[in-house]
Amino acid sequence: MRTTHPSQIISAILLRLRHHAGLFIILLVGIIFLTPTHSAQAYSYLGHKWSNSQAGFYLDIAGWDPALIQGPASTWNNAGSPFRFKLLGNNVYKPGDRLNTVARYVINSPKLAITNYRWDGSGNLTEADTIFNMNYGWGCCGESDLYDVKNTMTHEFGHWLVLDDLYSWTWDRNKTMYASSVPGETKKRTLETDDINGINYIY
Amino acid sequence: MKKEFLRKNVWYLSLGVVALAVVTFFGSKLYIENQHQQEISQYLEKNKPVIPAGYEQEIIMHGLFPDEPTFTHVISSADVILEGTVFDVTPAYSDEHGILYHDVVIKPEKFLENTPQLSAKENINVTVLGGGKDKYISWGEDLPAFRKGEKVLVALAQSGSKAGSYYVSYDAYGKFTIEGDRIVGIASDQGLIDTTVADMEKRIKAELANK
Repeated sequence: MRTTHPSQIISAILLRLRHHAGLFIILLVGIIFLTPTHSAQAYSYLGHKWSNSQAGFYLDIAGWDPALIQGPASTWNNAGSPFRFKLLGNNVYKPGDRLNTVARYVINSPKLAITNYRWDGSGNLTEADTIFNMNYGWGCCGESDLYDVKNTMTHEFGHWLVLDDLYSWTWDRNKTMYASSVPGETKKRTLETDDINGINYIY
Repeated sequence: MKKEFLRKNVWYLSLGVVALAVVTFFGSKLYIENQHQQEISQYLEKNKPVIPAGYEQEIIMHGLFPDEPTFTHVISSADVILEGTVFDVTPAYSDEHGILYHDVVIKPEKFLENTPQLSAKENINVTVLGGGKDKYISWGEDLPAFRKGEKVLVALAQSGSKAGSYYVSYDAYGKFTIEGDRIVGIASDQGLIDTTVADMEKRIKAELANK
């Protein structure tokens, strides 16, 4: 009977792999990225939606250029779904009035901005409001010492769609729905694939 | 035979070792991050308020943090860090714009940071977003929840609009519950923090020394 030393078997396997080194490396990279500890969610949707696939909104942002809010609205409008945000005019923020409003006030909170939303008995959204916290300095153009309005509003409009915050620094930090920001940050202005998949899943 | 095997395959074996090291490194990193997120989710789930009878609708509140809610950021952004007991939790009220808040009154027992030189003899008023009012309850999963009589360690920042009032730095991440000699809270970079009060004070002092 012929016996084979284990090292001979391994050697034979490696010799075969020598001709498929590229495949071997791709396999290793695949293992790294498909490791079962990959817990990040592509997007997180909390289950309510706008019944007619649109949300008109008003502005209560005296002194700010409306384009700072319209820009992020267009970003989501161009994400490939039939859903549309539409600017309807100016308004004074009043919670519970069923008028979706973007406002700016001082809030006693560490948050840069907050979004509140309400829904009816059928689970359809009836109102969403975003309030920018004027405890912080706001900029239009990615100034290094200011928080960027468009960056933040793009994230907050994601909440209007009932997309939830994402928290994985490793997997989510470049996505619009990542849960924190820093001064000068503008990367949330651009939707990542998972953000786009989020809105297209809902609508 | 073994030497011959090693000589012939040194490149592949090296590649294997490097690949294993890379997989182990990233795998461990992701595993730890995953564990932290699960711990934080479980902690925040317990934080969710029970909707009282008579309230018809929840208003969900989301917000964007001004930086990662790490332990370092929570401590370094605080004007006041204190240990104390929750003396009162007020009913919710609306400010002039209709934004819902409630106040948490804390009787301080020990200051670890006290930039505004607050007196230990006076209660501290902490403003927290949300609460129940007019058949509506407004809450956000990362808002800090307090109960009367609870012993806490809180990192507080001065309010920009209400003199003498404070809010919790990084919301739920800036509030820790003390039970006996143990203290429990969360940080985005550490997950669930469950340690002794003495150890927590030591960690905070170390962070403040680097502030």
